[in-house]
Amino acid sequence: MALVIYYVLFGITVLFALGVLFNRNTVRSAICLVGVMAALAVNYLIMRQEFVAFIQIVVYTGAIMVLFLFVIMLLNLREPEVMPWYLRKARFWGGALSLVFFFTLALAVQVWTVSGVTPGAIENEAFIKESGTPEVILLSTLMITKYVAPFILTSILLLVAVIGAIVMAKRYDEDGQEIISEEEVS
Amino acid sequence: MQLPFSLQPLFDFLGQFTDGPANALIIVIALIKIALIVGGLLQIIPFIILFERKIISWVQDRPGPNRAGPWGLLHGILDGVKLFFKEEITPKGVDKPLYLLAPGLTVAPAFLALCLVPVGPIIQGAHLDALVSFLRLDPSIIGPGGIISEIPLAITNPNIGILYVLAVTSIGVYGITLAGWSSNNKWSLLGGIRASAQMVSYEITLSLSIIGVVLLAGSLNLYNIIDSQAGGFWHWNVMAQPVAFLLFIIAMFAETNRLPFDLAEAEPELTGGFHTEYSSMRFALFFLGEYINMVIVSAMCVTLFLGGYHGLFPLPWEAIATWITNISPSFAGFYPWVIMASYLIGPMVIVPAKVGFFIFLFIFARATLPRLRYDQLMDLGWKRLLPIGLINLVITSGIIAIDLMVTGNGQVELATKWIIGAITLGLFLAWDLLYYSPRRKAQLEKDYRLYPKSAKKGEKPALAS
Amino acid sequence: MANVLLILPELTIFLAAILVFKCLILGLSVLHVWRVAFAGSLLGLGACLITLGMTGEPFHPGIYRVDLFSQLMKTVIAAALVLVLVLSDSPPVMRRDAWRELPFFLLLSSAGLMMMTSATELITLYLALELSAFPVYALIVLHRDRRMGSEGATKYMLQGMVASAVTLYGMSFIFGLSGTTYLSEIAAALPELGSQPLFWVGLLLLLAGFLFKLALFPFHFWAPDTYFSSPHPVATFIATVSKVAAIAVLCRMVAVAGWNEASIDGETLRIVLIVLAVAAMTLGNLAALVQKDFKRLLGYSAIAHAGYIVVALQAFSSLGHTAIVFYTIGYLAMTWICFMVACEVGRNRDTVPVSALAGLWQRSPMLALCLLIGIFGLTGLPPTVGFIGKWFLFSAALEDGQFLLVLIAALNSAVAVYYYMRVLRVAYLLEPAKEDTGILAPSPLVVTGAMVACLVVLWMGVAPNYFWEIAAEAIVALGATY
Repeated sequence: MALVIYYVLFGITVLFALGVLFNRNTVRSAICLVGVMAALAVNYLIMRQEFVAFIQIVVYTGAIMVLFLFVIMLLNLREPEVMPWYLRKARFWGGALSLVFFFTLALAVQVWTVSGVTPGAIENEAFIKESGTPEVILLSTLMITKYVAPFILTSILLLVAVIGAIVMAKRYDEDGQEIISEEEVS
Repeated sequence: MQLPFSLQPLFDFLGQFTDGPANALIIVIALIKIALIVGGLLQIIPFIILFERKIISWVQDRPGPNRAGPWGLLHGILDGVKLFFKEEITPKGVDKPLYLLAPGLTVAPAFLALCLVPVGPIIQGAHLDALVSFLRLDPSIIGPGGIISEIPLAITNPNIGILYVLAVTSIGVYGITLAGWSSNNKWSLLGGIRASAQMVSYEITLSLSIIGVVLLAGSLNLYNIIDSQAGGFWHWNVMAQPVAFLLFIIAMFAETNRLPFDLAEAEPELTGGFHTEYSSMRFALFFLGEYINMVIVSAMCVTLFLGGYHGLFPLPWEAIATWITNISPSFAGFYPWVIMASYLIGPMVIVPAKVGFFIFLFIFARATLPRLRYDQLMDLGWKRLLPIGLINLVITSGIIAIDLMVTGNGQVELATKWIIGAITLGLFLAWDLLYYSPRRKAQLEKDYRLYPKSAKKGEKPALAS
Repeated sequence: MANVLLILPELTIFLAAILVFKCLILGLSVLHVWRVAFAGSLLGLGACLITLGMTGEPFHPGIYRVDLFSQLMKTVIAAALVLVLVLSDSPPVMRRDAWRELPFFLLLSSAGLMMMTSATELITLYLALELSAFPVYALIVLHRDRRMGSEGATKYMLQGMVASAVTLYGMSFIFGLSGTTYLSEIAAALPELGSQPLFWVGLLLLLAGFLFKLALFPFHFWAPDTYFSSPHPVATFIATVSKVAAIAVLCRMVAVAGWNEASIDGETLRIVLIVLAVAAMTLGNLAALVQKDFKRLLGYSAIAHAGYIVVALQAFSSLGHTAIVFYTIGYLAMTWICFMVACEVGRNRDTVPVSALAGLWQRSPMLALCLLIGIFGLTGLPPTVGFIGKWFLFSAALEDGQFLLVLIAALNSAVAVYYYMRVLRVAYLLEPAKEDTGILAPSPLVVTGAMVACLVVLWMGVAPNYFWEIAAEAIVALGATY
């Protein structure tokens, strides 16, 4: 039963992912991406990682993709009428290359033998089951012990991204003069 | 007291299809709860709409709807019927799949969030035992120590409860945004874009105000949060988090797109905003989604800040039941009824009363407050509410950390709650009254050239410069 | 306390960045902001020198390793940062309102690069990579010519994002196979993992992000375009500082995966690296032949040099790694010299065509001499580190028996002589164009920096033993970890 759910879910995820690629309409592509994110969240849910699943929905589906949509709608992107010369064959070669990559991966997975190394996630789940500690507490403990450096770095990274975005979007210089680019003038 | 017949054979029969009678029982209990909560809410919504129209009419000094039925009671239902039978019009040039998807995306998350509203306590222990023996079920399946050891009076009770609510409500924005975009109408598009920016902005404030409560309870589970507020209104989180409570209320108005934050459907500017091109049942779905959302955020506010299904004062139900039994032997049969009343007073009286208060607040705000301008909305969200929420969170978590370090029992003391509440509220009021409000007033007078107070009645006042 | 001392360099740079940010908020003038940043970077260099001999793990064991290798690389990064900051005092080629932000972003990016050299845990490594890239994306946009800046930034950012996404994809494979993100645990599980093809696929994908920073063959498209269209100091930063950290990470990853006797399939990685190295060298050198723009030419030269470095990397030996560390120090100085000349010559220009260098010996003999030394170094001519460094690189590959590869590399170096000498011909033999005959007078600070850099290039070329010994010790420290 669980296996059927897995396969259906993977099918849905892949369908949405393909929809992102092959939709000509950017808004529909973005909606398909929302679908991919939601399907991933369900995936986590099936793996019994409730916290991760809902954080995925809150962050990706609920915030990031909304901003994506917002930007796309503001830009009002339309399909380009004339394909530039360097993109004429891009579809063919891109498709061919990704197929090659796909088969390489498939081959690698096919010869993959299950190793004796215990993945950390399984250990964690066993720990949760035994000790009854809520997942949130376990995650937060990991975050300030084993993964403290990434945790700190993430906060700095976000700060940098925010400041960078503000500097790029700045429209007034030191003297309060509006910065006008050349194309706006012409 | 027992039923005249056992329900066990029914579940044994259903269990053949569901991998055991326990699963069948789980499904049946869930279905009953869904039927009661969702069905009940759907019946009430026409009356909420009537209530809204009545209150607005009173504020505006007119009689309001009074034709259909006594006191206009049938108006809401008739509105529904009318929408149901109207012709569905799909305008030319719309993006059809998304146009059809949008109303669903508004309503579905609202219903999903409804799953979590705790309307009453968890039935467990001896009371569950009594219920099982009343229904004559197999105690190895249900009962203390059985497969099902508790029945919460909410549709479901996951560990990460509040996160689920946040996640699901954050999906709701897609319905409005997509409706605006797919209608192929510039007013709709403007409404959709406004809605998406507004809801994402205020979700941050909403989350920030919730985190303080989560810290106080030490859990994301809604029942744990309510339990941490048990024992009378002086235990409620509103005492510990008054500022967060205010933030939550403001963010709640913005999240549901209600006045004074209803820029997505601002009638004078956008002819109706995102739902301009919708008619009939599709339009009704938007309407339905909005009202369910109102109920849900109100219920969440009640759960998080106002003690959920707990009353103003704790009542010793067991003692009352025993006392009644002891008055006279003929009253002995009342014991289970009193206990049942202790469970039913939450869903029947307390939660509806508290939620109703917030619904009234929503309606009253609509009747009395003017709509914000868009830049004012963003200004309020990002430059005022967000910093206030952050400072409130820092103070709260700092004091909680000290409390936990001193007592070391993993629970926040009542006195600490009050200290947090006093400090945050004091700081907020001091900032507002001493710093912000005077400056804001001066600025407004400068910006809008309000008449100075000194101007006398009748004489044409000089404009303040 | 000891832990704080271990991360002193990063901490100093971060604190300097925060101080600069405070200055930005307070609205200090450009000069003051720049001075604070410069002092901060000098302090950072000092902190690197203090911690040079230290070994330890400041965070949870296994996340972040401080040893001679990482500290040496950090010292190099800090020194290069000081040199770049020397050039980035209110450059006219950037938008005026961005002058004050320039040092701030440079400091933050360098802090990220420093963390990259020490990170021994995949998520930390990835985040440090992103931290080093984000500020640079923002900086390129701030070009005086908005369109040019946006073009360069778009090219750099899109490709950078794809590369780091591929890195993350590779990491997910490795995590899926080993169940850990700690390099030490992965190294311990290597005998088992090494026989899984999926692991090697994952490792190659993981390396993509770092090969991108190094501008190796399939990830090289950005280099000439971005060098061309970024403001000159930012291009200098991309060409010098960020290369060091990429090389450090590549050394560390290869040391984990390649040095292990148990990993039989390490050969796959080697073959891929050889192919990439040959392609990068050939493509870089051939494309550089026809370039008219000096910075674009340096971009293609960087691709070729990435190829040379990978020639030694594929040897999977401590000798090869030592040669890489040694060459990196020299390469950094040579490239900085060339970019310094570009910055000075193109001070008021959006681009620096090779023809702008015409008559440089008349306009500024000092810059001409510096250009001579730098170009000699990049070509690989004897008195400079370019010669001896390449010698070490190639001999490491020869030691490994890769005769054909070394032959191709040597042929490539010969081809390269043509376009490098063309630059020198323009600078020394042609008369300056009419519109820019003015005397170029670099600031004293730039002159000092140039003298130091030239000294390093010549000193390492004439007497390599001191630097070689430090590099060898650093590699011993690196090898001791796994």
